[in-house]
Amino acid sequence: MADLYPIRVTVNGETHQCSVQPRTHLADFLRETLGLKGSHLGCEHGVCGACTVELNGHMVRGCLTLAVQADGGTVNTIEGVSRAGVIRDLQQAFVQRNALQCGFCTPGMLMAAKELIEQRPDASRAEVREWISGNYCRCTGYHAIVDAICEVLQHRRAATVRTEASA
Amino acid sequence: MKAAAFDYVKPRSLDQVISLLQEHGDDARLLAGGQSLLASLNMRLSEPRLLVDITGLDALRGISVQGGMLRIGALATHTEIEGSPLIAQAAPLLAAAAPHIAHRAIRNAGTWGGSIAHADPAAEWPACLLALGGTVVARGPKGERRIAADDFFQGLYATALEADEVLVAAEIPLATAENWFAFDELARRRGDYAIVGMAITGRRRGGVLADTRIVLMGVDSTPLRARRTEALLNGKTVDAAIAATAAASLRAEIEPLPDLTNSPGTKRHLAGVLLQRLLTRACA
Amino acid sequence: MKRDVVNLEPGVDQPAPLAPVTEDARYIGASVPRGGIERLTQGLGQYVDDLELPRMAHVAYWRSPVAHMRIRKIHADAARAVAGVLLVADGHDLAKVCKPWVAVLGHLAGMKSAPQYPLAVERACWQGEPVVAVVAETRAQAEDALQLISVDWEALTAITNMETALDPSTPLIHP
Repeated sequence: MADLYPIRVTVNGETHQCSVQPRTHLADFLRETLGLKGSHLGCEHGVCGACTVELNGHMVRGCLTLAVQADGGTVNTIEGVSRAGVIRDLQQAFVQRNALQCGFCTPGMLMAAKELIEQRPDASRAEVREWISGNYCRCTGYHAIVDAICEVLQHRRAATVRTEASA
Repeated sequence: MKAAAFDYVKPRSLDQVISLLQEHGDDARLLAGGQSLLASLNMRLSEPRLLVDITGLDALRGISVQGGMLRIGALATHTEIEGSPLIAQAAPLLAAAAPHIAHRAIRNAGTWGGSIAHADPAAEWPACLLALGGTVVARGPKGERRIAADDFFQGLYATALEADEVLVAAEIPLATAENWFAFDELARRRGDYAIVGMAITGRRRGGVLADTRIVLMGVDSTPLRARRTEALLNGKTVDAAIAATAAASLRAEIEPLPDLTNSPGTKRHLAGVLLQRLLTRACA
Repeated sequence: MKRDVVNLEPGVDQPAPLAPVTEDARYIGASVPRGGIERLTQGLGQYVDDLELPRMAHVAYWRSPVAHMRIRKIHADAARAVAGVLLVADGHDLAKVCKPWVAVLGHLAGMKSAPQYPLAVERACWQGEPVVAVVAETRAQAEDALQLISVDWEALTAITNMETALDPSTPLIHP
């Protein structure tokens, strides 16, 4: 069996050329090879959402994606998305509403919330709940997380209305 | 849990894929979205020696009308189907079913062709394809062939695809004004595999049903058509009494298999509940 | 901390929160932020699985599939030959370097558990009890080697009823 497969992948804006075992999933590649520990492993079969990262513009399960499948692609993790400042309001809302206790689910929740806010800016509370039902939290009971996301949706909508009104 | 070791190749042509399948047989598995395959590899339920990544084949992408049929390429993702205006208009059953598939992150990667070829009896696309009377388009060493949905699903995870064939697309008849549909799943949590799911299609003229197809998910080793109950409904106008009669007929018709948490009796009961709800909702 | 208004529905005006009973500083009713919370929202936490120590190895266990079994023979040669495997150990190996522990209760003098070994010795007494430890350089290698472990074992009677467990005629799990 051949050992390593060469890949070239841009992670959080930085391009890496590595050789990986085909069986290495993207989450392990990010965590072990690149030292990006922010994406977590909860179940390793796609149901808990703790490993959620962004691949080529869409959120995916890091544990159900092979590193070799990211060859030639672009990955953003919670670390990169944080540094870029694009979810500052979400993170602040999580902090202010105590939407995390141990914080293990939080990177996955934020990556999921990010895509919701981009794709469904008009989401209702029920739609928020459905959207994040793929991310499990063992600590908070979810309400604070949903509140934080709804607050950000509300503020962004209000900001859009103000921008349109003044245009 | 880490998968056992395997080799990986990403061919540039379908012919290359087919000859790899011929060469490696059971030792090779096709990789499209990988949302079912990689989960089973991580749990070591399956240990292929080679993964053949078909996502480099652009000919397998796309959603379009061709030859009067809606052709959905094997590599169309669940999210693409969910968001497609063409599908919303030409195959609204699929637009209704798509949000029930797992969760958004899975839908962004998982594919139409992968779901149909994997043929999980509780999955949405096999049931929808069967309900719509669709056709699988397969390519093998002998060329292309079409397989009707009624002939495609043969057993648990078993389809009419030969070992050296690739599902390249599946086609659906275009919806007309007379077509109606219904879809729902009963599951403990959003995104779980259905305890029982149901897709219904048919024609309705002046309230009278014809060509009804009722397909159940999660009750058998394949998606299951309830033909006796379909026949009972054809020629009728649905009211509360007919819906109740149909539910009773369905319960008598099916012999559900249990799963890890639900008995045959539960599934039998829920199948009737679903049918009654969907008929009432659609024909109110 | 902004938790006065909850159950938010985007687009729906929320009622104003109740005025606090007092503006005086006090502890009861005060919101205390979780230490380190900002860092955790940026993926900068450190959880056990994130720790990387020099020359760190990984272990995978062969565990008892039944509630009570006698361990007859462990076949470990094939596992030891797998690349990256550092050690395959059973209960006897560990008993040489690790004494069993006995759990006691500070408020109930005299109450104590049976001696508990890190890996089962002679018998496994609960479903899932670790019997064989496979240590390797990576988790994947440990799991690869684990598949090659085979254990000859014999099922023993499981005791599953707390009340009848006290009967003199019921076999003792921990004599």
